[in-house]
Amino acid sequence: MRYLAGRLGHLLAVLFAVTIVTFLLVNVLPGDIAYDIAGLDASEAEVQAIRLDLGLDRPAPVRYVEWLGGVLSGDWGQSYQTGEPVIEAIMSRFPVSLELVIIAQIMALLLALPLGIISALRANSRFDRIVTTGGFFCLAVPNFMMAIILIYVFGLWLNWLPVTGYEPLSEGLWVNLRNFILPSLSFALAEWTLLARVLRSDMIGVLQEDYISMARAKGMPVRRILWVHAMRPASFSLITLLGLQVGALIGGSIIIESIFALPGVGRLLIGSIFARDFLVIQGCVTFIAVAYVVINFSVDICYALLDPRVRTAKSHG
Amino acid sequence: MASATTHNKFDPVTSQEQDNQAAREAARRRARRGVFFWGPTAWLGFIVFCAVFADILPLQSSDEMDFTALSATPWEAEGHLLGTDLQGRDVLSRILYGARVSLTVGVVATAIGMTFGLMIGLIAGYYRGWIETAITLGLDTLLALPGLVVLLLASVIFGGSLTVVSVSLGFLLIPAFARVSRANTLNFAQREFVVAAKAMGATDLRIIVLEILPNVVLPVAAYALVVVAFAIVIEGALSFLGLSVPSPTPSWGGMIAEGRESLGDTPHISFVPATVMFLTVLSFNLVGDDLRGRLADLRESAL
Repeated sequence: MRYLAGRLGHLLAVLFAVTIVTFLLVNVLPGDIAYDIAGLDASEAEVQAIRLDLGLDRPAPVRYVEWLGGVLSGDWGQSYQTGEPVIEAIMSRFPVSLELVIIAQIMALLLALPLGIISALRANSRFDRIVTTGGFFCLAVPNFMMAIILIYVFGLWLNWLPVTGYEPLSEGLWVNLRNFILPSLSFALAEWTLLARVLRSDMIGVLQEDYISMARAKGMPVRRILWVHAMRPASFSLITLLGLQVGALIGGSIIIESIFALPGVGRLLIGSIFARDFLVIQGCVTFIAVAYVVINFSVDICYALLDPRVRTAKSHG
Repeated sequence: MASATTHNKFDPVTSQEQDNQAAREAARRRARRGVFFWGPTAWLGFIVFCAVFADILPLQSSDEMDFTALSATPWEAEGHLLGTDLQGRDVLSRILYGARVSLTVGVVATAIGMTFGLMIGLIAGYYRGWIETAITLGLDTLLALPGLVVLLLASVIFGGSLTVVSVSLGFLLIPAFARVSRANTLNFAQREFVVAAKAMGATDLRIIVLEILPNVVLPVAAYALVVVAFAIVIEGALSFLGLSVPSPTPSWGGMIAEGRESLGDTPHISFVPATVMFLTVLSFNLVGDDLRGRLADLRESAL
């Protein structure tokens, strides 16, 4: 528990630092935001009014403290493009991004679990080598390139799946899901190799433990040994990696959401970057960073739950 | 399932021997460099050569539009080996000039990330205490920021250019290198030769640079080529979004994005640069992995 408390303190410090860096990044944007908002034919007085309205006339530290206070109390400001409150804009798009990330992770796991385990069981066999080599090839395809290939093959050539767009879940499960298949696959087809690689090497180590030989000597079926005895100790690095990958997926979702026209947080963010909608940028980056940090913290908790050694060992060190 | 057991731990001696044998065998397999090493190396040599000498190679101009051959496929157009894009520009020439952008960003960003990562990692691992805490905090902050977003912001703020992209990407690569070098520094900072140097009154700077750095630099550098591949991918993503080098300069990501508009009719406009980028990234990964494995063998045999 002391270990987790220490981690929590560290994570809060990281979050605080993130808000400062984000604020700094956004507030060195060149050009006067007030002019952008007012439009080309606005008079000087109108620009001045907007500036006062947004509080841009005051020094940056004051604005930072005010913004941070707002963030903590749930008031993230308003988008100057649409007038929509930032927190609502993010929250209405968040489910789309979340669904994308979850489906991508499930797909990657579905590929990685069988391939990684069989590779570990038959280490250095032909199957193992084919998986390893195939992994190298998949890993060399960036997600935007994978997206283009998938659009070409499944959308334009075979005409199986829609290439862009989004339908809410209320339109039906399949109608909703089919729009997520290609975007999620764009991630999963590269990510599985990382997961399978980690799982394979951990699993090889675990399979050499005495208690596995013992279970085998007792005549326990291989499948039961794998799922009951070997999976838990072999899954630690896998879980860490899954957590870390969420960060990578959130970053990548910016590009994938724009390619497939999915209305998620990533697309909101890139739109606001081009439009210099600074409060939305600040809000999105903060939101993403919080999500990343929270996920990694939960991974740490999972770790402690799965492996009692972490609870005792790390709390002393 | 006898085939599943590779080791029998009840017999420590044989299993030890088997371990050694397996390690030796793996090392020997690496020593025989096969097609997965020489193929990629040849490809990288070829791409680097073409990128460096793009100006004097007999190429079409990279931004001259050939209105007699718009979006020509490789086998249609005469004089355009890999076809032309939507505006009739020579794809081969654009790819080779684009290689300059990708390779420059890849190498410069990696060099920046490695240099600063090494420095920061050495300091954190050597001094420990509050310095280490502060550095770890900084690195974790950098990791928590969505990397692509920082790059996007940087290129919106400072304008997309080769320098801006290379420097901001290099900045984002610092944490990865810093972590590896810090971990390695921790290993060496307590060793006898460091203690001996301290006892002889060597300054901290001298110890870090002359005693620890030579030991840390190799395991860190082992990641360099793989990171170059990563940097090329990120640059590709940026230029795909149109936020890397400004428009007339060709870049691989930009070419892939341009071809997206007519993917159904003329897929080669996207897929030719995509293939080149794929082969380059794959080659950096394969050669980098080979090098990393070799350096690990080298360290093991030195112990």
